[in-house]
Amino acid sequence: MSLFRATGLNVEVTGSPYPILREVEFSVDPGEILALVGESGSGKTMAALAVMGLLPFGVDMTAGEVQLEGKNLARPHGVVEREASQISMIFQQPVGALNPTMRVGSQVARAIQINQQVDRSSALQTAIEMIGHVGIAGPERVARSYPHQLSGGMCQRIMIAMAISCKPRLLIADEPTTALDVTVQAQIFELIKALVEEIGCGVIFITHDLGAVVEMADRVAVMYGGQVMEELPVVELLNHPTHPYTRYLLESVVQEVDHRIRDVGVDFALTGCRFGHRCLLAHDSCNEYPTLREISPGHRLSCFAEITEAP
Amino acid sequence: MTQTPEPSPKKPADSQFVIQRVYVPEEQSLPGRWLSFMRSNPLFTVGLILLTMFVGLAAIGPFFVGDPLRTNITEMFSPPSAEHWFGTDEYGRDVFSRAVNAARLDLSIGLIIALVAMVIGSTVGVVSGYFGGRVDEIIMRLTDILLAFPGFVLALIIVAALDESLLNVVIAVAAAYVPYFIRLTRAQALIEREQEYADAARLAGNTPLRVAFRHVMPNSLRPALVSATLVTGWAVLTVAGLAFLSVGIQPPQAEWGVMVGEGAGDIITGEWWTSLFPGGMIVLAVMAFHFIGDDLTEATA
Repeated sequence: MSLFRATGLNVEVTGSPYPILREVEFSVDPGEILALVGESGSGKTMAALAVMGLLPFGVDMTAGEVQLEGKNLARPHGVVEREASQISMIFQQPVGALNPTMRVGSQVARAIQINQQVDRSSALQTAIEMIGHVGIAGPERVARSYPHQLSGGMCQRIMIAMAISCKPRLLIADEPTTALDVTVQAQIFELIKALVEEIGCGVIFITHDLGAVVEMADRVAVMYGGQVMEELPVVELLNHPTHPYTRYLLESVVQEVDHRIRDVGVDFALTGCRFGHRCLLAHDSCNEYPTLREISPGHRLSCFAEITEAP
Repeated sequence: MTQTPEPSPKKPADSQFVIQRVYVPEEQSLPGRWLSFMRSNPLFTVGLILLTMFVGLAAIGPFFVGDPLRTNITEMFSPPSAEHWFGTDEYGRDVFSRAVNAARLDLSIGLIIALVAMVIGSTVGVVSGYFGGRVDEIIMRLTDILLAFPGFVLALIIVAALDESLLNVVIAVAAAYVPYFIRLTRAQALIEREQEYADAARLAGNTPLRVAFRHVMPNSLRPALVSATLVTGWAVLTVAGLAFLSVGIQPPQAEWGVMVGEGAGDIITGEWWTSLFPGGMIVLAVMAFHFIGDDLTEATA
């Protein structure tokens, strides 16, 4: 049984007829890293926020189940009842995710204090250990610093320390390295992988960087227009990408310009398959909404087109 | 014979390859940054100098001048002289001594009012901005009502309804400025509650109250802190204005507004010094706070 499973997530802006997320589903096994991939606006961050119950004001989860270890955490009106020790999150902007008026050590300590019912001083001690554990030299000194005194990479390490300090069952990393430069990026990936192995939690890794996906992930869910297009193991992604959109995505990395994509901007079809009006293989039945179907073990697809080899 | 033009000394032949030097400002020390800020904001500097003088006057002045309440029938209405710098009033009291003692009272009461208004206003503002919903709606409509009155009139009404004690003046004037701080802090809290660190704090399991006051509030205070300097000046003016109308602080207390009020009638009979000097001090003190507050507001906007 999988550790975490989100099914049928529908997320809507209040008053808008077009959903942001439609029938989104994905699952994570213990120790597994699932990558949510898609371009800007594809709904990958919204999916993560919905799972955390952190949707912005005016955006609601209208349907869906969020199961962690077999328990449904979703409540009516988009409320997700979760304990901090169960799901943690690492944000895109590490500097913005730390309170600028608090020393980083006490921020990490506070998280520990809440979730492990220990007193202040021992929480601070644990926090300093955690800060050292994520590869920061001189953790005592760094713990006394304010976020603006640290580099982006260090702030992200602090965030990671905070996220794993309560030994979560599931870790959500929302583009954790987008704001960092490439060398730091590799270090952060290594760190996350090592820590995940250590505490055995599942990870939802949100990114638009296919290089990062190949490096980090075990499985991939490709999203477009608030819909999961294809879900497959990362090896399958490289060898047998099936959905037309997945192929476009892969080719856009390899080639400079993909001339076959008719529109460059993000505009989704509002009915049927969200990718329909950009897809070369589109036909009449694409005006219907395609559901995810399994085409081989561990490989699911939402597309009507008869897929043969890559065109 | 043609003359070969001499190469101009200003323009060497390879000038197009000379890279212009780029001015890279050096990292400034904290005093250095203060100095350059003061140089580019001369009014701020004027305000700071004025304020320093006033604070010095209020802090140590009263030890060097005579009793502000000592009357002297033989020296009624003596004009400014070496002995009485600002002259004497209708009871022969030394106007300079009274003005200096009043500086201590007026500045501290202005500061206390601004602090009280800021603490109450920003606390309510954070609650309003962070929690939103019906609470926010109620608080905002209440501030609308309060803001509909000019601050001075509101303070006048409140102090007239309460007894005329120093404490009640503080309460009345502070109440007039509370809605201002509520609005300022609420607006900032609306921004700060959407920041990722607030999400992160919620995720870590902090209670909503703790996120509001420990995380969002410290980050929402900046506009309120800056405006507190402006409000201090306004509070001094309001307190003096109330006293001038014989509401609030009462004679024979040495207070600028009281002094101006008492001396206002003397102008007709030629004794201009009893009201001009305390009036001038009100103007300078309010100007000092205003110059500082204005430039700070601009610098932090």
